Amino acid sequence: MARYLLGGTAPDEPELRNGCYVLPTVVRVRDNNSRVCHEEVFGPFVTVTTFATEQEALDIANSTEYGLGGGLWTNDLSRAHRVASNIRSGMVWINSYKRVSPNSPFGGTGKSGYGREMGFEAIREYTEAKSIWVNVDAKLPPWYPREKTGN
Amino acid sequence: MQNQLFINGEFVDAVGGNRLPVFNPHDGSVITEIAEGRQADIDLAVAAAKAAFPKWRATPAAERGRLLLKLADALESNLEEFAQLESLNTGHPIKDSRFLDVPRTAACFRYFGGMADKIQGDVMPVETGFLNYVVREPLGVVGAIVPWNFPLMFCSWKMGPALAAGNTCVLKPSELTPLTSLRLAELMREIGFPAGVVNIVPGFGNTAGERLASHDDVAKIAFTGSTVTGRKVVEYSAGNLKRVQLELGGKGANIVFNDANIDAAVNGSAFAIFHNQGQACIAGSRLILQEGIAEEFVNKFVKLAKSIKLGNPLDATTEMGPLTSAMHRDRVLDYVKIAISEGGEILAGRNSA
Repeated sequence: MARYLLGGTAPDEPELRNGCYVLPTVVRVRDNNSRVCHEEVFGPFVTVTTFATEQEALDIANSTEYGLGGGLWTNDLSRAHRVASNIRSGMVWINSYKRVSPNSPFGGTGKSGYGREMGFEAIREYTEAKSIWVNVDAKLPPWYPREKTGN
Repeated sequence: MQNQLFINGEFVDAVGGNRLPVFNPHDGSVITEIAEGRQADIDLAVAAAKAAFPKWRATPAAERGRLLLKLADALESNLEEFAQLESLNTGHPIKDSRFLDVPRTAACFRYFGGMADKIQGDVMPVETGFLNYVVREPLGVVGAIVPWNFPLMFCSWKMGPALAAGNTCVLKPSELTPLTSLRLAELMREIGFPAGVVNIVPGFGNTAGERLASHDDVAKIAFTGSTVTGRKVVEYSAGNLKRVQLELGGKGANIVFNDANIDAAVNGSAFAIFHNQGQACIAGSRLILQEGIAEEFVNKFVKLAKSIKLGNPLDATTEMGPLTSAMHRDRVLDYVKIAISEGGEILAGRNSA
């Protein structure tokens, strides 16, 4: 049975009683197989797991079917870039989180979808390339050579 | 407060006369009733967008860009009004709406306004004697379905690039959060976007959304929302093989190594999950902590989480507002039960058990 320290519930304050409030909730899970480590809750609800090695961290990070954003905090320059390159997601933030700019592509992989918003990537998404060929001065021999009939 | 559908440059009632209430998630009160778009309204909006496309496409790119730049300026001039309306309808703390939602929306329209006349083509090195050039052409009518978590900002993410490139739009906001997009429509009309170039039809996914995603005259559907609905959008799009862009769910990993600056990581990680009440596809919803700092990190993180000030979104000191709907709140609380049943230990929340 789990030790239940503090409740992830609605707040007690009477003035918030009729609202859709949920307290900030932090859950230490038993292990990474928990449903709440894989399903999107979309609320103020964060799970906590621990790891010993960089590879374990990556295994946990990449264990969901989603691949939208991810982040890492370290002062080791090499590790920062190495882990960023190995996280399976459309965006990675190093020593930061949730930075977004119109200049930088945004989107996911896996069950987070496909396509990119923002940056010039977005223009590709909203246009179609049309290739137009012009014979300016090409000297092409006929593909079906025939004797001239004289007319 | 604008509460009708925006189709072909006019605010109109729904064909079937349907209306739906829009709620304030802070107290459950009804803010207003709006016209609810269904299939027939989507058909009218798509027809208007289709009719407007040839002229909009032929409008000089610099002029399309100028309108988007004006829109960015107008949003900033009306920042407080948009911020208040967004907070009222979504529950975003007013601090967030003022400093993130509205400025980011303006910045996005401005970026694509600037890009409109810089969408260049290529000349390809093909065989001697031939000229091969490649131009980027607009697709036609773009359908956009945007969710309730960032309803104003996502208008700019979809319509910014779509309009800059010369497409016309039919945008369906969530039935929960239509108010800022309708106000945006009003502003766009004032600025001079031609009738039919932008159409805003709030409604439910299984009526208006499905019609838009399956419509034969829609060349592309851009969807932000859940993975389950995204899969349906793919199915609906199959009829005319329209292009599909999907920005779906996430379960963001947030890894903290032993050598990190812990205080910065604690604060940044709290923003990662608690900003917008965690209602963000890119939320950092999984803290993955190296063993050496896990205890220190959790202690500091829980302390910070407990200190976050919940309250009325319109109060400038509020740091966390309500979730955007009661149904969604119940869903989140169900996950707390699931976590406990799986042996999880709830470390924060202010109510002692």
